Amino acid sequence: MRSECKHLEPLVHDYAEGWLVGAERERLLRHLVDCPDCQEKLKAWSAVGRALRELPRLPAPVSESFAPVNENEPKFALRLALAMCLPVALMITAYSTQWQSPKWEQLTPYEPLLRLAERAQDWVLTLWVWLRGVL
Amino acid sequence: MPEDATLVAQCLRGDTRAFDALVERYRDRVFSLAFRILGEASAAEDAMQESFLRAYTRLPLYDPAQPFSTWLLCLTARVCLNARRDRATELRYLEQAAKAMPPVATLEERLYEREQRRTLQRLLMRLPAPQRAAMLMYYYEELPIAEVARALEVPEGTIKTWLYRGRESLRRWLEEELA
Repeated sequence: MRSECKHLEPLVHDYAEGWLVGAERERLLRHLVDCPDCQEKLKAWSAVGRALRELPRLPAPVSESFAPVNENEPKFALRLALAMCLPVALMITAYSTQWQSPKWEQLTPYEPLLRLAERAQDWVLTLWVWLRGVL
Repeated sequence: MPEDATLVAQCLRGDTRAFDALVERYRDRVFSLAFRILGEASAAEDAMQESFLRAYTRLPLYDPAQPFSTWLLCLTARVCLNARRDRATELRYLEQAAKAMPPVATLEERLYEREQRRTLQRLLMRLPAPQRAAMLMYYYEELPIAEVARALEVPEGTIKTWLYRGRESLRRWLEEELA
């Protein structure tokens, strides 16, 4: 390798990348014509660049969704509150005639339904009496 | 298939399915870059998750003038370099790798192991981490020098020097290996 080669080595790299322009490019091309060592280096560097570009893409391991929880979706507490609305509404309807806090022993799961059935029975009886009066 | 910019805009409006679509589009590229920089599949998987999480939280800072892929891959390279700096994490990975060898490796695991043994990937791991990241960002992901420099927080001239030295080291090592 000539002393000039060592000096021009970074330019060979820049030339391989296509970064070299103008007078420096001309100078390097003149040198390359009669320097087999630099020609060899240029070929080797190009091969390394090509090998790096052609490294295979690897499949990412399958994992769960990366998307964080959507902040626009109702929060758990809100969803729970909405879900509780219907049973609470039923209980309020059932106990609304004369509101008094129900005793613990009355708070069976079907107690509100019984209360509703009782109230429905009253309505049906009232309607029946009115209809008989009209007819 | 919607453009990246469309998906980013949808995501900024709160549509997480749009972000899932971006993840699906880039997961292999992000994982591959992380694997090439870190040289280990479980570390690369962690880096991939960290990268997507950061991308999601920093999406409002993303400048649409730049391609989304460039922004995401630069972010991934920074995550990988930070992970390497964290020595404790590195040791944990080594311990995990030592005791978590499954009796039958999956197809993907065998692929990663084969990649680890491959000459070029092995030689890449000999380069200093920032230099390796620069080489991979420039050659493997074909990102512009300016973006690589910005991501690694060094001047463009330094990146060019790293590329030159890195390529020369690889050439020398490859010649030694193949001799």
